[in-house]
Amino acid sequence: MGPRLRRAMGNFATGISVVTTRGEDGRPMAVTANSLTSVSMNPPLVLVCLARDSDTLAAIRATGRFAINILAEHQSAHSTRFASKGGPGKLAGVELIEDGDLPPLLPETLGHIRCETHSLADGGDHEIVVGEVTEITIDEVEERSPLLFYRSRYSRLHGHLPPEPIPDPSPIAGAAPPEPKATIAVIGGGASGVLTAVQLMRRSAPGLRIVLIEKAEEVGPGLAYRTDHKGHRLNVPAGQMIAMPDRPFDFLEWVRRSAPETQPREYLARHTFGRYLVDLLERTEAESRGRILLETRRAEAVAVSIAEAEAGTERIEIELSNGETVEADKVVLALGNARPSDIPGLDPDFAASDRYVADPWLGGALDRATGDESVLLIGTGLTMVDVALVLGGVGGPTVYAVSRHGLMPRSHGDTMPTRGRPVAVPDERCSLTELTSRLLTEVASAAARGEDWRSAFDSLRPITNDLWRSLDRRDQKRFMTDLNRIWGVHRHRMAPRVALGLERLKTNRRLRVYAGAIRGIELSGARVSVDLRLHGVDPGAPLVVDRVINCTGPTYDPRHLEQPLVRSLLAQGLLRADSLGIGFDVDLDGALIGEEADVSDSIYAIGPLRNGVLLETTAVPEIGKQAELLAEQLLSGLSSVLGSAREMSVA
Amino acid sequence: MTDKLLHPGFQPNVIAIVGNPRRDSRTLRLATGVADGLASQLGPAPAVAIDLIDLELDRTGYDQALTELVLGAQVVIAASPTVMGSYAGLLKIFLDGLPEAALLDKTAIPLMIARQARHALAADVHLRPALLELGATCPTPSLVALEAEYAALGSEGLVTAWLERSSSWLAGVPA
Repeated sequence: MGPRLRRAMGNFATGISVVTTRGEDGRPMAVTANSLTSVSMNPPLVLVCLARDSDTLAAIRATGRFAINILAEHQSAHSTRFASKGGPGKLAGVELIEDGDLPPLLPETLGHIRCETHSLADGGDHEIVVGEVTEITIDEVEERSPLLFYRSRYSRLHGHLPPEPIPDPSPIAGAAPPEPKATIAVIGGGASGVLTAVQLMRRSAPGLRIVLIEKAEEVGPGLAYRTDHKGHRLNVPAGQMIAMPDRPFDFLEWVRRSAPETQPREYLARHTFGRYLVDLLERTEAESRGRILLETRRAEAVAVSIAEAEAGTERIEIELSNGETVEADKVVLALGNARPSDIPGLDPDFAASDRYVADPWLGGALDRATGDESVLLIGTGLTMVDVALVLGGVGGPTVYAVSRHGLMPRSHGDTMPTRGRPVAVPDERCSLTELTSRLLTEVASAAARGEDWRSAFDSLRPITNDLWRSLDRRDQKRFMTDLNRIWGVHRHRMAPRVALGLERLKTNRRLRVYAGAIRGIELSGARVSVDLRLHGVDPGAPLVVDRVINCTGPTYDPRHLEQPLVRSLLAQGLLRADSLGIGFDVDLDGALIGEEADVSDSIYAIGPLRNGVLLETTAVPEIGKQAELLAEQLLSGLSSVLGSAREMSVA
Repeated sequence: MTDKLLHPGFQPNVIAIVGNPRRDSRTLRLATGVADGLASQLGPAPAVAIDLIDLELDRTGYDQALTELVLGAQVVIAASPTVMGSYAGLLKIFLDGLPEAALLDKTAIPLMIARQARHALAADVHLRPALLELGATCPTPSLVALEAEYAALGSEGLVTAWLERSSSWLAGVPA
């Protein structure tokens, strides 16, 4: 029976844990166990089965305490080592996290669970140890993969299955919400869309229906926070990722629920924020259930038309790619980051070939490049940084990057940005020259005082949009033509460890960054020949690479966007580009301004789309603020049907 | 200004160096206005006006980053109030710290605010020769404003009038 049962159970894949405790004399002890099972949530109980002759079991019997360490895929050596009967020597030279006389913990695992013995039960040649959980830590930051055990061998997780298709949510039974009195459609389920929906749910009087339309599989992470590449970090430290202005630490607190050690100054993985958005939407929906109806549609909004309702009010019809039509009283465009604009003057044969990647985020473009290839990235900003980190990983291709000035984003400081002396901004309207001078002077004098130059930039952040709007059009244009790239690299900085990773790639000559112009790109056999004119250097011969990736970053000029929805709005004159031609024209509330300078009272834009009208509109703290104000604006417009907005309780 | 603060890509076309021992002076405002007006005629590159008093320069008056900005600019405005019938020591210290011929091939513009009419020539008698000595070309009339004129016309009025008056000389400035 024994061997056959072993084979049968070998088909049941498990994770691997190491049970640690201390002997009565205080020395650490450990044994491997793959019999870990969750037993009860209330009270919180888990069990492991340990061999009757195990020293560790004897110690647990004596002290009544133990800890469970869930191993990561790089820790198979631990598993083998602690599975053996090595006696006390088993732990020699093993790094442990010690905390007084508590059971020691193994570092770099997926998490720890400390327990007090709840009960022991007979399990034949094993003893069943049930523990009551006293302490939990979970690795949320490193996102390690688990070590698995399958058919007597160590294995690793290969990937996740796609989620089961979820039918459109119907109202939850038992808590039937009131008949909706008004509908707001939010088009786009990334950060901008989710934060808008969340504020609407939190602020609305009962009777609102929100329809969140997102074509991607998951509502929440959008493009920016979907990446699960470990090198892709948030550009803002955890303590400053303020998604809701009235709950500034909600994100940090959420992270700390599973990773209590997280510091406000940490730059977390970007997808951590993506998962936060998913959770925030779910929990807000749960809190407002019965008052507000949130529906999601997994489809693309392809057209919008305005129908006249009674009493001169507008009603919007949104056509979806699945053939459905959604009717709404108000519509929020939360389209997020669009694809990069085309590089002018590209040879059409080259542009149509698979040697050219017009959008690095589409269709697994980054997965295709392999170690024997070389790749040219056009652009040296944050998009290039993201792409270079993916490509430059182990075994990746040699990466070249070029832009007119070869400027890369600066790094954040190692410490939390300090609040230095703010840049003295005059009260009255002032010119771009005056602002530039004041900023430069403050940067210089901060340095003279031994302070961080970054604080001068950061002090302008809360008033950047006011300053931007106070500039006349000539100055705004001048800024965009020349100063913006300098402003951008200093203002939109990268996390220190991202900067470090990039520096490493450069040192190893895996990444080379050039300042210069591209004179021409053409196919040359199976490869691509790029004629570069570099500043100060004569490259001699064209650069020959296997692939060229457009990393110039997203564009928001509606005239260059190809989404059918944007085409539809433009065609009806409901939308126009802002005066600089870099975003959607909107008023201060975000209401679309149409071809005839008419301000819409039913269609609004949020987030990056407001580029141009605002200078600072892509980062989460700004979008969070916009979402709050937009929600208030929309709800006050619907107050005749909905009643006045809910009193916000201060959390 | 210590080096490596700002990216080497930052290069103003027009730079005003202001040597008023008081912060936020009218000299600064006037110089900023002229810098702004000139830069917008020259193209998209930015202009800046540096209030030397904010930099806390040491006795040598030398600052690497500021010197590099000056060396990279096309037009340099040297601005000061009259002090003891000449230009201020703060500006003098900075000019003395520049390398030899630092302003070669550049257009320099002397700018002074004079308390009394009898000091109105200080820009031409004292400041202009210092700029010429550094290799600059000074094709325009100096911008000299009496305090009374400043009070009457304001910074904007003075800037507009001077730009108009100097436009024909400035036509030769390479764009």
